[in-house]
This record gives sequence, structure tokens and C-alpha cells, in this order.
Amino acid sequence: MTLVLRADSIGKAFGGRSVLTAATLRAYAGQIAFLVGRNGCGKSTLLNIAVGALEAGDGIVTFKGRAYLRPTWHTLARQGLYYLPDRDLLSPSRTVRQHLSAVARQFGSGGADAAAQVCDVAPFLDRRCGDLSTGERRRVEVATAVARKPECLLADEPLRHIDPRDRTLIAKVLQYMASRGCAVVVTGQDVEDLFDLADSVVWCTDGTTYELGSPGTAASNWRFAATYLGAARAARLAAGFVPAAGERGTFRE
Amino acid sequence: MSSLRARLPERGMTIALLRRGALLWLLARMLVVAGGAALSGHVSLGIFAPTALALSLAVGAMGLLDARRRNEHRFLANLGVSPLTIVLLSIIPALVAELALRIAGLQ
Repeated sequence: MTLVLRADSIGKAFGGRSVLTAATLRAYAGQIAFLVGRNGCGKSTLLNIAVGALEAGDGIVTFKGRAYLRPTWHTLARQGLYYLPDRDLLSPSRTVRQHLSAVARQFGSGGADAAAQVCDVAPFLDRRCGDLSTGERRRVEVATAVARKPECLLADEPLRHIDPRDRTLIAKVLQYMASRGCAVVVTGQDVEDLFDLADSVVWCTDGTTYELGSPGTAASNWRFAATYLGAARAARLAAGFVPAAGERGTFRE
Repeated sequence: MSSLRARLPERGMTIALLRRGALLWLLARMLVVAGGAALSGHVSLGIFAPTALALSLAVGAMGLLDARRRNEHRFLANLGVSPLTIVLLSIIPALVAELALRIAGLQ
């Protein structure tokens, strides 16, 4: 596995309140890592630091073998990183087509049309992003990432406030990107969906991170189960038993 | 050259940023002229060179704020465009216009 992004020993405090003390994030080519943790534990902060949108108090970020004490988002973006923040990536006054074309032209990737098809945004290419629903906007944001063809994608809560159909679509697109060699890191609280999607789970808690291994292994970690998942959900996940919406439960393969 | 190209946004975004810089300069210049007219009692386009430079820098800062207001700064960062580039693209029309006014003898 090729290590694309590594954020090591990251520390960050806000106004004297320490959020991260020694957190580590690794993204491997072709793999999807699920960064999980309770609200306010520092997941988004860690992503923001890894991408250079926020300055770390301590730590170092390495992207494609080059170390950065103070990485900047635009510098890493030029090297092949793409970041989907949890909100407001798109300009409300610009159309979907303008966003996709801008990415394709900027990097000569020429994948705007294909990205529109993959993410099912072709029907509203000429609508302004400000006029789209939350789910449509999220699909467009993911489409811009597909058009970029990045080497590493960090997606902060890509499935939040999204209906089940769009969640499935976005999950498939993220898997498609990983299958093309992209290193993907996702966060979120949609544990069942993201456990299905991920190759590995990283637990962010108490200012640090723990690499728990595969989703199955993570679900059987007693401390993770006790303090994050809850015993019932942990048992369901570990057994591959996940209740579908509106049902008592269905077995997955 | 390719390095410079990578630092600039693609053509559509570049034109949009330049156009906004020009509009911001026009508004700022009108305010300065109106302020000068209110204080002195007569209308004059002429301002000192340091004032023109300060005005251009202010336009650059306003250009960056405008990009943030429009939620474009994150998208531009994903395109590899730095905040400094946004400031510079906003400043260029202001500097060109101030220079043009001086060459035309309206200063």
C-alpha cells in the first residue's frame, strides 16, 4: 500500500481548550479510511489541519513523500489533494457546469462530463448551486472531486443530511474513486453506511487517534464499542447485522 | 510559466476576479472622489500616488473578502489558487486604471 498522506502527532488547541494532542491520520492509495468519533472530538479539525486549511499547534503533514510543517490547502491541491469540507464548497451564484468545467480546465483532466454522469448531476448542469437541494449540492461537490481525479480525497461528513438513495450513490462514487487508486478519508456519524464503505477505521477520541483496523475488527473492539458505538450497535455491526430504515433488520453478506 | 499558470485560476474564474476588481475599484474611486468633493467643494479625479496605491491595496483586500462572501475561496483553494493570488488579481485592474488615469492626465 502506498502512503499518500500522513498527518503525524497533530496537536491543536482553541482558546486554551485542547482538542487534539497527538492525533495521526494516514491515507493509503486505493483505500478508504473512516475517521470516526463523537461530535466535537476533533475529526474536522484533523482534516482541516491535514489539508492545510487550519494551522496545527504541533505536528507535521507529509503528502506524497514531501513533509510540510505548515501546509497550505492550495499548495497541496496543486499536488493532487482534494478536500470536501462539511459544507459550503460551492459558490451559490455559479452553475454546476461552471464548477465542473473550472476543475476540468484547471487541471486538464477533461472529466467534467463523465463526472456529471457518474454523480447523476447531468439533469441540472445549468442550475445555480444556490438553487439546489442539500443532496443535489453534495452530489455536485463529489462530482467536482471526480472531475479533479485527485490522488487523495478528504471528505468531511459526505453523507450528512443526505437521503438513502444519494447516500448509496455517493458511497459508490467514493468506492469508484478508491478503485482508481485515490486515497480516500471520510468522516461522519453514519456508521452503518461508512462501515460498509471503509477499508479501515480510525477512531478519534481524547485528542488522539487509534487505528482500529478493518470495520469488522473495529466493531469488536470493546472500548470503541462501549464509548462510541454502544453495545447493541457494536454487536449488530460485528455480526454483519444492520437494520435497514423502517425494518426490524436485514442480514448483509 | 507553467508554474505561474498553475497558480492562476482557469480563464473563466480569472476573468470573473479581474472584472470584480475593476468594479470594486470603480466603486472605491467614486467614494474617494465624492468624499474629496464634499470636503473641498469641487470635483477632482486627482489623488496622490500613495493614496492611489493604498486604494488599490484596499481593492485587493475587498476582492478577497468578496470571494469569501461568495463562498469561492474554498473552491479556489481546491483549484490550487492561493488567497494572495485572489488579492493580486483584484489589484491588477485598480493599478491599470490608476495608471491609465495618470497617463491620460486626469490626475
